[in-house]
Amino acid sequence: MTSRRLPAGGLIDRSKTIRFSFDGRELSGHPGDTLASALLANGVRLVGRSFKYHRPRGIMTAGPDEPNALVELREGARREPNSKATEIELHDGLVSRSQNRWPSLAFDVMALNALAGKALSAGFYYKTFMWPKRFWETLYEPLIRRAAGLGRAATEADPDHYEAMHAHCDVLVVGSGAAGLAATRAAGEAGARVILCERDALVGGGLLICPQHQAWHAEMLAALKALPNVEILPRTNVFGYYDHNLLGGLEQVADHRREPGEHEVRQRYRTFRAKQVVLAAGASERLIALPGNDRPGVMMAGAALTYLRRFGVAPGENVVVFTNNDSAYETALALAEAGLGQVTLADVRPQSELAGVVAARGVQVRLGTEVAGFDGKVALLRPRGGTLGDPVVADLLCLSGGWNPNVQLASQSGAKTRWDATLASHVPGEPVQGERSAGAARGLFGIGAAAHDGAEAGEAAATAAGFQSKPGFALPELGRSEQALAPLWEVKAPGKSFVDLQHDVTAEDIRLAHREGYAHIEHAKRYTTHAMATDQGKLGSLVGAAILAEARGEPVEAVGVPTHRPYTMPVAVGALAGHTSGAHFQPVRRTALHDWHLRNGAAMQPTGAWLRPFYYQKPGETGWAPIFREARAVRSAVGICDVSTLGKIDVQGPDAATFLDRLYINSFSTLAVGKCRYGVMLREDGIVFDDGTTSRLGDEHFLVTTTTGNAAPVLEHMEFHAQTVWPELDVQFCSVTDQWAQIAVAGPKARETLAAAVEGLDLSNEAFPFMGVGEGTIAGVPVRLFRISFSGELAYEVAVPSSQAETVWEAILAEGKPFGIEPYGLEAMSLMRVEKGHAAGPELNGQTTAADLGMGRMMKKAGDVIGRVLASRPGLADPGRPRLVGVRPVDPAQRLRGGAHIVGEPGSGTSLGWVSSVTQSIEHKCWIGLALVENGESLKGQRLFAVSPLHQESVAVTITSPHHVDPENARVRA
Amino acid sequence: MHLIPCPYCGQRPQDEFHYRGDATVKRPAPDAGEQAFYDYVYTRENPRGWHDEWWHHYAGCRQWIKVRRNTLTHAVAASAGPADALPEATP
Amino acid sequence: MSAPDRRSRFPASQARKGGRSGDAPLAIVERPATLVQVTARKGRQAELAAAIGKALALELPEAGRVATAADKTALWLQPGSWLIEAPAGQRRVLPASLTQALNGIAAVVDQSHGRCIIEISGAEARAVLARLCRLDLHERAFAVGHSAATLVGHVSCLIHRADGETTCFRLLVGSTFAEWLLDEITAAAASYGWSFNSAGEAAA
Repeated sequence: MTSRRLPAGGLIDRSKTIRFSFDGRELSGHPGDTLASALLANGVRLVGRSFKYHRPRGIMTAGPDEPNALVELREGARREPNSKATEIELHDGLVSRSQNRWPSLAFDVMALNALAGKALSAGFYYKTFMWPKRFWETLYEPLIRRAAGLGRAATEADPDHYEAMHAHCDVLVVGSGAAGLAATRAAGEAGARVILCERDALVGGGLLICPQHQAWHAEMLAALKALPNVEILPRTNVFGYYDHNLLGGLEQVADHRREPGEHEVRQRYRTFRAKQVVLAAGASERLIALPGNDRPGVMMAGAALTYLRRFGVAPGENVVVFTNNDSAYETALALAEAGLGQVTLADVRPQSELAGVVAARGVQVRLGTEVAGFDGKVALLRPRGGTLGDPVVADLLCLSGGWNPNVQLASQSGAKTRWDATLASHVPGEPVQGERSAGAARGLFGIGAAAHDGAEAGEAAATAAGFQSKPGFALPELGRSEQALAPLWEVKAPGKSFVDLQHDVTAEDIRLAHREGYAHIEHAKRYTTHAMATDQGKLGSLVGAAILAEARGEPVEAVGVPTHRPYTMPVAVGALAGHTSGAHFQPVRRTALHDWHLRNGAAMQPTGAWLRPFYYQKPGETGWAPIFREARAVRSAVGICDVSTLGKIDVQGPDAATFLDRLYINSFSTLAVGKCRYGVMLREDGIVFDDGTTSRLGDEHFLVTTTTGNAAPVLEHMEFHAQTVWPELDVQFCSVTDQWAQIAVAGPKARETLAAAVEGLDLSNEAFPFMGVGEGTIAGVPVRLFRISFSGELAYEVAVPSSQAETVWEAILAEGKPFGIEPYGLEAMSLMRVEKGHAAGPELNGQTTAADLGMGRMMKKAGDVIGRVLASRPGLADPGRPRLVGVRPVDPAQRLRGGAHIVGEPGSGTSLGWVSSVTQSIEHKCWIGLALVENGESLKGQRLFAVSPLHQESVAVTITSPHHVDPENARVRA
Repeated sequence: MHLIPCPYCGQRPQDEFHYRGDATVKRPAPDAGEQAFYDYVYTRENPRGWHDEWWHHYAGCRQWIKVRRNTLTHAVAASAGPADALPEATP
Repeated sequence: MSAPDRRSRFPASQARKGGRSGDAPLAIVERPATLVQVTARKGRQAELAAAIGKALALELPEAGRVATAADKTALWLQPGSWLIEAPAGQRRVLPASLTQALNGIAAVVDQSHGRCIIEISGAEARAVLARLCRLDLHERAFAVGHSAATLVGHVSCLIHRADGETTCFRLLVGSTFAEWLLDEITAAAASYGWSFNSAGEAAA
């Protein structure tokens, strides 16, 4: 294979060689190359097979609009499919493979699809694989998956790191061509904080292929580098424009290397919050639909110029350039000047001002001429609209159907695009956010025009952002004004004319969609999959729309184009996730005793944001053993538990008691100082919201505790009512959850244990009865004590300033040692609360009323209470509603399951309720549970069945009081 | 990520806030009856355009602020503290 | 007898380093303090300001600002509410004395153990925070004396810019989130490198 590298020119470093592989072949290129330019330089013409027909395809573009040259990049865990060869910076050791071929690129059995092309026309998924139904899973789907699809994703975990970064600026400039550079400098010199994003590794856009403007380009870069308020981000594609001037981008930090460096991320997801935005993302050249316009050897005219000028690669020898506008003349001229072979320029326009100029340099110009077909070796030229053509030998067909301003971001910002008849394209419309387009992005072509427009846009943006000073720097001269293009979408001739190469959509598919009723552009798009591939239809979206317009008998502008949505280029989900995976997935809260738990064998369990000890395992213990041991210690002696996760809210003010009276269904204004009380609060709809104990620390000072999960919602609920519903109440709130660690000490020996540890408080039953609140010190640390119990035993909770939690915890442990004190975890706590019949999360499930939970009588007789009115609605006050009861298996050997339905008879399809919580009782030596059962109160003592169809189980159960242990509540008062 | 103009903290990203919907409904007097409370809890307009809403600045100043937001364009016209009134109307 | 106040929220009190060894590593230091939240009773804000002025010679700052005088700092929290910061040695004294001084004027709540102060400084401190926080912390938008309650690493933080030669931000975070936040900060600083000193080391 002959080298196509030119001896000189371009922005590549010929003094260094880079080795890479493609489909196992060892090839070489130079720094500055893309994979595409290196493949072309090595004479590689065939780079992939198409999606549907498996037609051979070559490199068509030099940028993100590439539909064909999709490769699998890298290997193993870093293997990435659908990478555009035109966007991959060549690096040493790069491994790439073509996609969509089996068994090999050159011989592809699926190419037979091309012969059966009719069966694969528009809507083929909908039409073809409908029946028989069983064939879908067994035959069609596996076949389609093998035949279609675009490469293979890695199956191992991604070893690389990603991160997000949030930037703010006065002016964000997207695109670093002449317009972008001028806008950046104008805004920067005005004093604005400017960020310039460039998708490419090199800053310059179109300047990179304009040798005559090299000096200006260099001067601009130097000037920008000297501005400390200007940040330039190369390799950063801005992919989305969102509300309130937020834009999203992806910085490819290390994709141009084999693998990222140590502590380097591979990609960085960026957000930009900009006061003003200048969109200078240039324009994309559009396709012309003609038979064979997908053959290897077809290339966009602008891309051919890029390969020549930037990469020093000859994209072909004998070339036909087919155009409807002036821009392709430069390509023809450059090709001719490279002295490769015969260059023929076919211009559909009858006249051209440039014809003479290029003809003088050896280009054969044929005006009023169109290309009616191409097979990779020969192009068929014919007079415009004619039938007879003459073959011209060509290994390269360059196409230019005009240029579409890249309006995607402007359109996403909410600005409706406007049709420009001169360009035969859409241009950005009236802005609705703080943005403006400049240069080719709004249809002003040529370096000089773009630079002038960019400078004005940059200055205007800076002014809008509040910067007044006028910048002043030299701009390139305005070029000659171009001759009008002649709109050209399709050359009709026999054969497949593609409008979307990546999804293999032809002009005929668009017409078929129209005939079948999909006349709206959005319908036609989805029916044909036109412009839905990774190139987002940059080449042919408008061509397809124009063909649809013709079928509808309307002008193109009447048809419109599909809505532009993020992302303008594919973005890996992993990059958007940033570093929030694994241990960084969501915030983790640790109590002040966390490290003690870890040092003492605790199995930690995430519960909401918290990490809590599940149990403390001792050597040799398996299964439930540690849980039983811990619970037994509490029931028979004493246990100690970290309950710091309970929500704690300090409530103060002259109206604190009034406020709490409205918040809870029971009264707190009647609570004595130094006492606490259990309370239940409802949502306004009458359903139970939360419960917990509230202590009165002073006349105007309360401490509310909430369940662990509701700490934040309860505080918001309190703030809502205090700030908006009863702003006249003088009450202040403050979360003290993190200020205080809380330690439960429970069991018959709890008093003796604590009495030995506490100074300054008499813990005798008389001096400190059940529901008492007091202060003292433990190991010199001032603590608050609450005589409350969740386990059902004699118990206390000790609140400690959290930094001293371990000191106090250790002191209590030491005093409890003679009694066999055991730390206990969440599981033992849960076991004991089910035994005791305390409602918790599974019962406070957002569906239960206070009456359902057996607490209906707590509702005070009078006064404004949140939820009181709606709780009395007939549906919620119905005595037949599921009510909290206990369940026990008739046969103590049988197990209960949470979630089992309660039914009257085995096999009954009528559920009376469900089992909400279960445990293995250490007091009853069998499974026990809590359940919510219709008419539960009247069913006590009756035999029903707990059925779990999922487990094919049916267990005879007795309905009991929910209080499996100490229903008289004597222990807590002992 | 929208920006919500907190009257105390300035423009802040929306993830600092929790949303609670219509800020024009008023909690009825305790003796107003079931229908009044039913409407307070459940009955809502679903306007296409300007909408006065409660947003709680939970990660900031912890105030329940009123925000006049356009449900169609996401534009925000005004905001006010929990006990303050929004301007009369936004055209 | 009085137990020592174990001031660090971090178990490993030894200094640590991590990330790339670069020229401008991020210095992360835990700064234990006395923190007292004062919230004015309804309509008593002026009296609160006067009482704080009298008791601590400290001016209560406006929304989004921090005021410092001698060894005390006042940080605006929410309308009518401020956090008073003083050296850690005043943990036993300040909450009680403020409760007395502000009786009937404000709710006084000790938060010395409820919030952990993490100070980060270095040339890249703002770039590190840009990975964790959506606010604009550029000195043009967030100068010395400015503060903001916001999300950092997905958790609520009060952040303010401290005075000094190098860029320095102080983060006040709920103490049960402190380790999480430290992990977030060190991950975000990996490409610059970082060092961490917990309270024990810093006091020495």
